[in-house]
Amino acid sequence: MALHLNLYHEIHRQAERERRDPVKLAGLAGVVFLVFLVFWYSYRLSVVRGVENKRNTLQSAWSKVEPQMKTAIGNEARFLAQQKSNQALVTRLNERFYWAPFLDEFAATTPAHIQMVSLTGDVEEGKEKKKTINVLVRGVAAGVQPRTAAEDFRRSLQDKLAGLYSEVSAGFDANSLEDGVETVKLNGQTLGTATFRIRVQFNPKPAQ
Amino acid sequence: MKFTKEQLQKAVLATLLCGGGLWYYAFEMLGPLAKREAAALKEISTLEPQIKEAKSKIVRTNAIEAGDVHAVEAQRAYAVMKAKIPGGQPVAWLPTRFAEFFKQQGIGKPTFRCNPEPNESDFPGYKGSSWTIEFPGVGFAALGEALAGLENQEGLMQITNLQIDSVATDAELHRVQLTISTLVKSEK
Repeated sequence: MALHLNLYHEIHRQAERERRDPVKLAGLAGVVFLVFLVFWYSYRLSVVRGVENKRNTLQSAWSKVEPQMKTAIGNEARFLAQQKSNQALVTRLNERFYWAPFLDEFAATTPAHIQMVSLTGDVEEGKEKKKTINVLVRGVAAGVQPRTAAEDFRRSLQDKLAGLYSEVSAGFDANSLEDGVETVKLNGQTLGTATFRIRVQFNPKPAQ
Repeated sequence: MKFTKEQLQKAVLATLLCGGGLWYYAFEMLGPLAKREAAALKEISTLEPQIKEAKSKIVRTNAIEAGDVHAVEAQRAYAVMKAKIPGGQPVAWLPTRFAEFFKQQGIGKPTFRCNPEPNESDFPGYKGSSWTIEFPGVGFAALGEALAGLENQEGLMQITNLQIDSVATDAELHRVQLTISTLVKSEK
């Protein structure tokens, strides 16, 4: 076996010592750690800046929207009041009751042997501005059968009004249809009379 | 492995420097960042619902304004009212105007009586006014024609009560009493 001498053993040992130098290793680790810290800080900074940008955008949007919202809140009550007022006015104009067509129909329905003594009409406004027309007709009917004549008049009045209005009712007031004491001459004929009170009620909306 | 005194001093100094650096990094660099982030997030969480609510309020108000189906018709009516209804107390003009109308219809000499003001506060700038008009003797047909003309001419007027009584002395004539309700300009 040949003897082998390592004449460079001191140089090798020195190199080995330098390679495992803890200060150098710690330095390297420190540099890596420092790079990581710098990277992490940059990452966090970019995240925070993103959040802050979003905040700034929202603040800018809020500064634009806030005055609009304040105006809208102020206007809302005004618009609602105006809407209510407009609706009331239009309803008042469009849904008022015209007495002239009613009187025209009433006159056309009243035959010669029916004499009107009085007519009282009221426009009654109920819930939700629903209108009801109440009419009280006092009159005298003449005929061979004056009560029948009065009843015919009541029926024809009800039928005619039902063609114009809805929910029509026409009825004699209790005990109001009575034989009259007087007689009348109509077309040369002497006829008996009956007094009556007819109460008419209807909704002025047109019949369906 | 044995450290020399000088090496130990260096190691302690390096540890102190590292510790200080880490403390500075954590509390003076990352700490303020976290605070800024938390503050921004808190503001975002407040602003987002605020903006959403504000937008919905704006949309709702716009919808109310756009949803007023009677606006055009009412504006037209208000324009007519403004032009046709004189200012001042109605007693100064209303009886004259109506009397003139009935005179033209050939059923003159009505008498007018002002009733207590009906409570109508729906119309800004206007108030209700109620009147009773009496005719001592008028024919039924003439009355019907006059009422038709009046109801067509006075769009705001509503006859709320109508009383027709026959006159004992003349079968053709009737005593008529009308109660009307109309709108007049409010002086307030």
